[in-house]
Amino acid sequence: MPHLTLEAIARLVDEAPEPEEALHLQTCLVCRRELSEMRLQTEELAQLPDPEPSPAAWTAIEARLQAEGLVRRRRAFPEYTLLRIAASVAVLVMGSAAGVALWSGGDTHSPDTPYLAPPVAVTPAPARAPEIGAVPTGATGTGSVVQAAALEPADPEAEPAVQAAPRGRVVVPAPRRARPGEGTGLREAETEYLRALEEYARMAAAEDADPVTRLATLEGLVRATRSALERAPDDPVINGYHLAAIGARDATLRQLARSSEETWY
Amino acid sequence: MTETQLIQSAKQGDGGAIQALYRQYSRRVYAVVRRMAGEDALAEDWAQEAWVRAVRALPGFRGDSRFSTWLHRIAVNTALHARRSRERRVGREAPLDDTLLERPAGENTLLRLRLERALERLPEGMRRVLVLHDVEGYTHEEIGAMLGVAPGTCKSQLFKARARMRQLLTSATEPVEGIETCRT
Repeated sequence: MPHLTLEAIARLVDEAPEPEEALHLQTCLVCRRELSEMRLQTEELAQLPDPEPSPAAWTAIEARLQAEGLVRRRRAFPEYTLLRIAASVAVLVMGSAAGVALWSGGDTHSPDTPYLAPPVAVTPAPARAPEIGAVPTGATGTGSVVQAAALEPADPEAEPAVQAAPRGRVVVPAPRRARPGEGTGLREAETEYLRALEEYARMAAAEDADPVTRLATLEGLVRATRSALERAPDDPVINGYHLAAIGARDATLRQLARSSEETWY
Repeated sequence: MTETQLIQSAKQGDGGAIQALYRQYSRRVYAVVRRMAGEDALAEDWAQEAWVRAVRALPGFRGDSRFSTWLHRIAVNTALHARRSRERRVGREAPLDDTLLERPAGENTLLRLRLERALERLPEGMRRVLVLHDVEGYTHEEIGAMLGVAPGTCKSQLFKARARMRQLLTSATEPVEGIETCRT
């Protein structure tokens, strides 16, 4: 009898041999070896380890699920809820405070002369930067105390306007009168950063504001407050908001970095 | 959280629950579509499609079978469907790029490496049956139902596939007499 075909040997992995096949196998070393190899092949196939999907695969799936509305999107940064509220309050408080500070400087100020906040006591620094729009505490008169930011700017060169000194305290210098010709620029700067703050508040109020939008808005706020500080480096309110904006921006950056590793869930 | 709870949450569209299920079963799903696809790029597309289909179908999952079984079947069906679509598309458009099949496998033992490579080189019809039966453990009846062929046909194709595998493992150039390419 000729050797068994490979198909026949493949069948014998699962099924009993026909009598003549059994007889042949008893005498044919080659076919017995082939059958043994075929069994081994089949056993090994069943034990092949599962290959790993690409680590990036979930990102694509997640995008599809989102696009098709198959998942309920979780809020990306729940910790920003308070920040949103605070930012809204800030717009209100800051708008009033800035307006009063600038144009209602009391007996000695003309409406055109900006009045900057009086000296304020600085509270011990919290462990992290204040939230943007944290309601000023300890305000005296028309001035505001910005809860001192504990954080110095991450890059002092990048944020030169922020005046920070012994860690944990932010030096808020004595008030000063605006220099001649400074008023218009300062008002513009105030307007600009308040506008940026409002923009942040609007963005923060939006349920679906994505982290990238948030980051862009915070960058805008950092720029606006920095610009304002260039005109009024001693202004404690702007200083505080500048620090808070930097803190929030950095937190968003960190969150984005984490999100890229962990996804947005 | 138990799997049942995860499934219930996932049915409600809870992203965290869906991701947890993905973490648990992504490897299994990928494995079956990867072997049926024979290449990484296709497999990733198919795995993605399988997961989207599964999440879409999740509200209809009643728990009559194990979730893993249900999901696995979706993955297999997705691969089969995608393969058919691709065959139609490729037939209309352009020939397959064989270079796609040239990828290094990452298995540890030599035999497993050779098995993976041989699997990739099997004709698609043979690979489908071999993967479903010998790797994934489906019965001929189940495979027949999936492919729309009689169990006997499936069995015959399996033996041909095994024989071709054996041939590929021993000699890649010498054809084996009597073995025809399975086109199911």
